[in-house]
Amino acid sequence: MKRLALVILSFVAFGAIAQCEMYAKKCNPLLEPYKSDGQFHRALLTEGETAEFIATFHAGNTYRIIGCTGPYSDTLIYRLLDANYNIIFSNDDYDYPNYWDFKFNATDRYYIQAELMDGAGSGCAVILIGFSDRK
Amino acid sequence: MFSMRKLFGLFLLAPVMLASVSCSEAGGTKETKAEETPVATAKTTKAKSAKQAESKYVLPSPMEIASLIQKTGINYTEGTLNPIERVEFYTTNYTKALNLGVYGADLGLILVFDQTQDAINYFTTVKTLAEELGVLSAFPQTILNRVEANLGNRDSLLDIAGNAFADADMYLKENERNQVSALILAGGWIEALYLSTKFSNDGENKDICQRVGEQQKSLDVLIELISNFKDVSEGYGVLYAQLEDLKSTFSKVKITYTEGPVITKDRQTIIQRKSNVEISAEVFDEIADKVKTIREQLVN
Repeated sequence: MKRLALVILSFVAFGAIAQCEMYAKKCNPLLEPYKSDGQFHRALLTEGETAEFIATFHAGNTYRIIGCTGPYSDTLIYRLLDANYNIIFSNDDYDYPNYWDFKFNATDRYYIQAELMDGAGSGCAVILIGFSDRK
Repeated sequence: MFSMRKLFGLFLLAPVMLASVSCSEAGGTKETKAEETPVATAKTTKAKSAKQAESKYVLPSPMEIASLIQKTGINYTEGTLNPIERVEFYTTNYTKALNLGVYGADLGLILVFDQTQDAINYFTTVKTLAEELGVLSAFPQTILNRVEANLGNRDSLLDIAGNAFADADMYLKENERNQVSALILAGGWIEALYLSTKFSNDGENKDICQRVGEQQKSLDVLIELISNFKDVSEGYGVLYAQLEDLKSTFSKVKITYTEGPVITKDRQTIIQRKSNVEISAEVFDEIADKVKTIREQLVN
């Protein structure tokens, strides 16, 4: 019985992870005209959980942060926080856009938090980040 | 490739550069021009710390660091990259992963400085290491065809490279090879920092000095990432110790902040808080020496 439960859980986990890849590929075109940071950021979330990513953004640079989940992208809430956990931006203040651009005048540590909306159940949250190569 | 105009400009600027301020007078960021009437300013609300994501560390892309270097107006310096011939030396997954990051950073520099004559060779080298690490899907054979077709198109080449590394990172994380992903990120960051110090004209370029000093923040994130694997093997442990030692020098860089408003307009938020980086010539030299030592151990 225990072995069966493990097999089932493995299939569920594998399915969730495959979803992450699918969501990343779906949302990748939104990076344009920004350049990918060359990394893959994701979290498997259950209802009520918030995932946190730790980032460094550079002064004078502009970035695009994309928050992606599926099948409906507008079920992900994502926030940008400064090093002291002050909320700089939350997409639920702007009707849940799936991307937003940020320009920083200070290089520092920042946090990105992501959570699924109430009622969205569990799933994969993918965060894509692009930087602007233009002056 | 150098244009005559750029070369002439460099000769004109050389005396100015030599007489210019050293790292010790590196200043703050250029103030952003005031945007149009702000539509909304962010509320200052505290959030709670949350569950740590599985892939929670976001490091600056080596291509981003290369782009930041290039924006300072400095010219490309020949002979700084890790030679592609060394790829045969990397026989363990540990050295392959680190140097995939190193060559990725080199590739970034080549692309942002339009050194297209080297692009194919470095893409090929990156592809070779990726294949040897089992990351076949991110660097398929067709990628070299796409690179050839887009030689001279800087934007497209940066897209190809960035997306390929992101695909590789995705493959590694989805297959629970997070420590390999971490090594690639570490190798890329170390090489980008090393190249920044090499391009600084021995610390004379104030803007690059500032960019080097700012890496204090991303080094902290990198150390947190590597700390998860420092007991995996002796190599990880040595790398962790080297980064901690580098951190002790970076702690002498003083970064201060001036608060400013957060302005949001047209799907963009501008965080006007400013940072000022103070890094003395001595601290810069110490950072340059330490990162050179770490880098030489990675690539040799």
